[in-house]
Amino acid sequence: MLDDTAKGRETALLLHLRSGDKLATERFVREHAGWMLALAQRYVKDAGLAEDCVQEAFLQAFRSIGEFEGRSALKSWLHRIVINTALMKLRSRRCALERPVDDILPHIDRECCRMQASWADMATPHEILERKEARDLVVAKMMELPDSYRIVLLLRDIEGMSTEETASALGTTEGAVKVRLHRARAAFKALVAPVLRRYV
Amino acid sequence: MITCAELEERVADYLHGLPSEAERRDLERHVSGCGGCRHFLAAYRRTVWVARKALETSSHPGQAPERLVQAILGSLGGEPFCR
Repeated sequence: MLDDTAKGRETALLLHLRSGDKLATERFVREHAGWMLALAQRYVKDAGLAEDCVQEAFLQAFRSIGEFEGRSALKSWLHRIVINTALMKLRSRRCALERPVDDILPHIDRECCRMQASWADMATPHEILERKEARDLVVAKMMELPDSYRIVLLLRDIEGMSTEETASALGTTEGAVKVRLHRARAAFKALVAPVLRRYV
Repeated sequence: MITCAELEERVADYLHGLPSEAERRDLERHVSGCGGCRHFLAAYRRTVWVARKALETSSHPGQAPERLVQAILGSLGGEPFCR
């Protein structure tokens, strides 16, 4: 939530952007393009595709900036546009071959949801995740998940979307989201546990 | 009383806040009497936490490449709001 000062700054910025102020536009693009690129890359993985997403997201944002009502912060609004753009990109290449999660996790079966207790009992990974190297490895493991699993994990657990919102964003049913999320977490856990154990 | 299988099915909703208080109480009653589900829930929570934490703290993005910034500004230049 923005405080009054920040809100005032955003209102002023919006006026500049809506009036076509080139300097304000350039500053705005430079300020936001970096994190937008990182966000897009989580979803589409491919660096070139992520750049396309960011470019399209900016276009979309500027086309609809007149309708932006300021109910959320400008950054949250951009965040949502990037995700929607990335999901659209993914949908358009859905026909691409995707390895089923079982291929990378052959041990996952009908009992997959019963994650081993050792994970919960493991020493707290707080300190472990303070190390950049460990964080990078964890993120790399997440990127190993097949798109359909990684995206559900990102939307539900990272973005905090509800099951209903996630289902609607992905054009699927709530039941399918629940099942996929369940398996995605189990798969993620199976991939990450060995990485974290290295640091214990 | 709900079963272990039902708990597994509804665990995501549980972590994100179930719609009804009665459902939440039902799940909690089950968990308090079932060691397996307690472990399961703890493991589940930790997985979500690790995913969040790793992404939160690893996403200190640098600047976007200049090439991309220029491409964006170029494409925005054609828009009516940027004339």
